[in-house]
Amino acid sequence: MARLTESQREHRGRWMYELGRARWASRTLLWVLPLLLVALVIGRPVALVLGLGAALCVLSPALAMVHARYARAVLVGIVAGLPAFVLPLLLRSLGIVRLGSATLDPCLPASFVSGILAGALVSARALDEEHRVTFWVAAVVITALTGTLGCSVAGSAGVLGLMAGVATGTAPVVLRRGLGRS
Amino acid sequence: MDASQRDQVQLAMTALAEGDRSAFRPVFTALWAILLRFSERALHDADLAQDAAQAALMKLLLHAAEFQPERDAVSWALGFAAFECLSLRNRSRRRQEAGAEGLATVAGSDPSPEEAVIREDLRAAATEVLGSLRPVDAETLDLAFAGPRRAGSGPAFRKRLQRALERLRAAWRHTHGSPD
Repeated sequence: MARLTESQREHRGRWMYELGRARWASRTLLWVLPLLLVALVIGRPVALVLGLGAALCVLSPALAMVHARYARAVLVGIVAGLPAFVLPLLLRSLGIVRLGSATLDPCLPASFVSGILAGALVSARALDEEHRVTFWVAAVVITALTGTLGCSVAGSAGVLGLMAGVATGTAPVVLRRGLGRS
Repeated sequence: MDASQRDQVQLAMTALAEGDRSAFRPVFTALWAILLRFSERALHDADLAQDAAQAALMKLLLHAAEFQPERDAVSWALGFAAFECLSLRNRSRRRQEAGAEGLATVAGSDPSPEEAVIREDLRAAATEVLGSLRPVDAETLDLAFAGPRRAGSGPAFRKRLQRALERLRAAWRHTHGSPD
């Protein structure tokens, strides 16, 4: 290695640090890629998997590279998004449920319920972090992308149901924390 | 390094591992001094020590994101420096060994240009002197140089060889002078 001046050494040091962080952050792909593979295997539309997969593959390492708390947020987001990924797909096999003269797509309540679970998990985990809001936002974005892979089986209504569930699941955790402080 | 400085390095390294870029300069400044001092003590050579410390610092920063806060940052950093010092020492030892072997090979095979010129001059001088001898003497010397099998070992041949050598010496002195 060539001998460097003080400023050159610092410049190269920063570069090495960012390179190392990028390498470390790329580990998040080990959580994302198997999920995308499963989505393809169970027959989710290729365009959807490619679109959401590209977003996940870019966002996850990018967030993890910025700070380790966002790497944790990515992991929490993926775990929180798993019920939303799996439940609607499982309930799809029931078909449309007839309730008298009305019909109900079971995927919609499944998306909502899995959204509630995701919201509760992400919020509870965010409370342990120093920067709660940014952690929560990062985790919810990843949850939304992961969950949409499954919820979109009910169309955009499924995705909306998921987000409504996330908001519903978040509220009690935030409120309880707020009441606990006051 | 006292305990408070060590704690500061530990805190800064932990923050840097988390992704806090503002901790870069404190880590960089503190660890550079530590690594350089360690390398100088290990290698007893200022230039080599600087190379080792620089390489260690770069590797450390490359792996900074993997640092575990439970570990001692200074010891962790010194691990990189120790590895670099050992590598540099081994590399320079290998280079010295390879250099000595290389020189031995060069010395053992081809002559140097100076030696080649001297050898050529001697050969030309010997040919010139041998050419001035009587054919019988030249033949005797030729048989003697060819080895005992061709030359034989009888007293007559030994006498002939002795005379031929005396004449060769005389011719050499006549042509090229005495070494005295």
